Amino acid sequence: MSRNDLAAFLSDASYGRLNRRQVLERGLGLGVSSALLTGLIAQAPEAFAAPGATQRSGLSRLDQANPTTFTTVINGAVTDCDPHSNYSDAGAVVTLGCYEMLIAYKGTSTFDYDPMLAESWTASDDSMTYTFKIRANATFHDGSPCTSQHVKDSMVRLAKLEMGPYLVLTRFCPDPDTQITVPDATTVVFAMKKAEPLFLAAMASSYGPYVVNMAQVEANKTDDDPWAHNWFQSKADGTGPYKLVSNDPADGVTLALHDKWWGTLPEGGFTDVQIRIVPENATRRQLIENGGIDVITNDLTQADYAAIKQEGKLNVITYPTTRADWIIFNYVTLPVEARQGLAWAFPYDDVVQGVYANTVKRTGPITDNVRGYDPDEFIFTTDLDQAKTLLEKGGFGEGSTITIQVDASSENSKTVASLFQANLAQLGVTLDITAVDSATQDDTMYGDAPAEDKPHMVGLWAWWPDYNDGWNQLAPNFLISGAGGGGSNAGFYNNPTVEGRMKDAELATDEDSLEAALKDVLQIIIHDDPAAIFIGQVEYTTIAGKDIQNLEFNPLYLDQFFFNRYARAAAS
Amino acid sequence: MIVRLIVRRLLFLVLVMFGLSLITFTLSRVIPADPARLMLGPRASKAQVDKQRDKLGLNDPYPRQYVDYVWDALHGDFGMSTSTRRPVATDLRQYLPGTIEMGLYAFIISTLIGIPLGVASAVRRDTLVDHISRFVSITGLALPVFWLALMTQFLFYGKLNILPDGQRLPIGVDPPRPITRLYTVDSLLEGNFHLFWISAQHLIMPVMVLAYGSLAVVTRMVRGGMLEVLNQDYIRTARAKGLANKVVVNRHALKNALLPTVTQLGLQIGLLLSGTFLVEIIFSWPGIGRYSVDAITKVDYNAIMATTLIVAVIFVLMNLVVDILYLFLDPRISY
Repeated sequence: MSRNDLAAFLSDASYGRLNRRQVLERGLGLGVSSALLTGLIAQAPEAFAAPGATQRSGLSRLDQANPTTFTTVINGAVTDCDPHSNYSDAGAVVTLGCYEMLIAYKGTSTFDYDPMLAESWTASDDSMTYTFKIRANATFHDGSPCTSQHVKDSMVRLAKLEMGPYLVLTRFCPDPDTQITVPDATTVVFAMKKAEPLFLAAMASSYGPYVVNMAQVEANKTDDDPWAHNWFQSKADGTGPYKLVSNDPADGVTLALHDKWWGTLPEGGFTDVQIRIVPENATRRQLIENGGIDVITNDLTQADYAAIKQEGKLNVITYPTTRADWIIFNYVTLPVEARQGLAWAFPYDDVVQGVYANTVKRTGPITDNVRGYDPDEFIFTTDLDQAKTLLEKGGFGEGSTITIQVDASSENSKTVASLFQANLAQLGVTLDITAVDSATQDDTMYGDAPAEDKPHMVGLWAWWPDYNDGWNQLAPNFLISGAGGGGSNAGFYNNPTVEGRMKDAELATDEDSLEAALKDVLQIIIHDDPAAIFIGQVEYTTIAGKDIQNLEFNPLYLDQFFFNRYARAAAS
Repeated sequence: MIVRLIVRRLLFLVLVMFGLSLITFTLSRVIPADPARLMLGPRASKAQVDKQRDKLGLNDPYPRQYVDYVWDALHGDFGMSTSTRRPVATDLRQYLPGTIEMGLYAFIISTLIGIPLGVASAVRRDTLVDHISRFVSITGLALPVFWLALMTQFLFYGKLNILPDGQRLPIGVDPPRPITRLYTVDSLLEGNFHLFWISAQHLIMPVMVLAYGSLAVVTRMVRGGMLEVLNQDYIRTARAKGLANKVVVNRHALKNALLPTVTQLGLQIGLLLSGTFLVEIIFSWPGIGRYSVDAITKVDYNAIMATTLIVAVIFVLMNLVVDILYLFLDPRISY
């Protein structure tokens, strides 16, 4: 449009001389050009943005100007900071910052240990006595020294509170009052009732075996709350590198360095930590791309990771975890042939590539970095001919309907179900997908309704162990005691041989016996009498700014951080 | 007359609250989920869940639970939230002002712009002003609020980086001393202009997004009302008497045209103050909308009931204000 034409157009518009056709044409043009402009802005080079846009968004984020502050996000509030009751990843972000276990898993290993509150330890040859030497210079956040008595009392508190992860300790040490002795101020001795080769693995768990300041228990206990659980839910006092400054369920958590912590930060280490609560995925992505946060773990979609990786401006770290995903079978309403048939019918390749973007390794319920993993275990592949034969044998041949219930808030679950539906349709079997809200899904998992009232399949389900122990991974999910609210055995799986061999594994006094028992269990629950369709071992992805150093993620500490280990590289 | 109206409405409010509390209580118990299980997580044992249910009083008979709740609520105790593990009253004190602050500014902006724009659009029908006004109305009504919020955030934070991504204040920045709990107001009352500016910056995007939708409705209502009134005989008479156009429009036409708009404004402010959770989620805004959605997904009975009652009170009070305004706008109306 020339200048004269534009002037004429504006004159016509101001005097109301435009006809409807002209208005529609101009409006359409404006609409299309708006979309085009938006697309161009999205592709605009950094020079297009306001000055300082490549740096942190520092308008009103006073703290962001401070390079010794580490920021990350979680998508929900931390409602329980008590390390002896918290059983969530969000809570573990706080407990790992403020408290310490005696030992921790070393680096990315799930079999080796690093000292933490204990500077050294020994295990007797018969795995019945474990002795830990506590650091003499360990102090709590209130400045008081941590002694071996605090360790014993903390373990007693964990056991007697009987909340959350107490079984992590009491499976091995059911009576800490008598089984733990403290010969001196820095020595703690755990005496097992039988050989417990996995005790150290449990002591390195980030769920449960933390040492708390018992003075706070004494100062804040009440008749109704003899272990001061209410106080510890919102406050913290441990020997960990950071103190809890604030925990706001709307805004997030702030931690600050414990100035009397026994350890030292690396050069460029973080004296402050901010954990923001950001529920929206798109906002989280913008924050990491804009430098508003330093690190984000497993809180974006696969498409986001791919796009960020392609841009190349941030570090994209992918690593294996101990988490396994599967779809649960209803053991009561699906005969064994039907379950095997469904396992053959599942579209594994499409799911692994399309849904998980190849971040899944095909395994059973025990991943390759957990004790009890069997590298020779049977792995189903997609075979529609076998599936058809078995489904017919199981009474679910052509024309029948099978039901699956998925969580409506999980896009992955819905997509997996749709892909499965397409495969079963080729066999003339209808897969009826019901997407329900999370609360209803939870009720299906844990409610008291009989198996006959539940769908044939429920998924996706994910689980990882509290510590490196295949028994711990399987017990809540495949023992009958875990059905109907007793655990996560939503399918009411109940195989007598599995029950027996799991008992053998639980009581095993050496690792070979444990692994032999679990090998038998895996053969049954994967193939002979399938409990689920096992998709496999999941990888997690962490995105970090390129200036963040020493990032390392252990497969057992999912979504958790050791803030004291990280550092920010000096600006060049 | 006003006093009689207020008394009647307040009595009505009490009835509404009882009715709503009963309905919400019943519906929340019908949801097939166990709040104790949701609170403790999937790894908790059955024994732990049962213990928690006892602690929360969930094993008591339903009538007993309802009576206990109502009795406590009448004493200002809305119980404990199972999702935040704090008293619900504490949560409401934190979340409600966030929504009120955002909603009030959105309302003020949409009204201050919408009414004059609607009037100008009607008076200068089929001119550029009218086309702009109609464009604003149509886009404001057609564009989904979550899309608008995401695009706004993408543009002003993601690309231009001239506004913060969300929240009321950056984490680590202390809010002003709580007087009204509206951060902009409290920081001005404290004389802390720097904090005022920070909290204002954080308000800009969510308020813009909310105001845009509300503005569309107000503009459209005012325009429609004015067009109808401007064709009336008494307006023609007023012009024939030689009155200035400004006087005809503002004194004679606008007052009558505003009647349906005032009703809509009452609804709008009710909607804005009851929390638009999509905007609050996208901008990580700690408001009542986000709090209620969290409560529903976690089957947090006490929080669900409290937020429902709060929203009911807001709507009933807003309707009362609208009805009182009618008395001033139209002397023919009496209650």
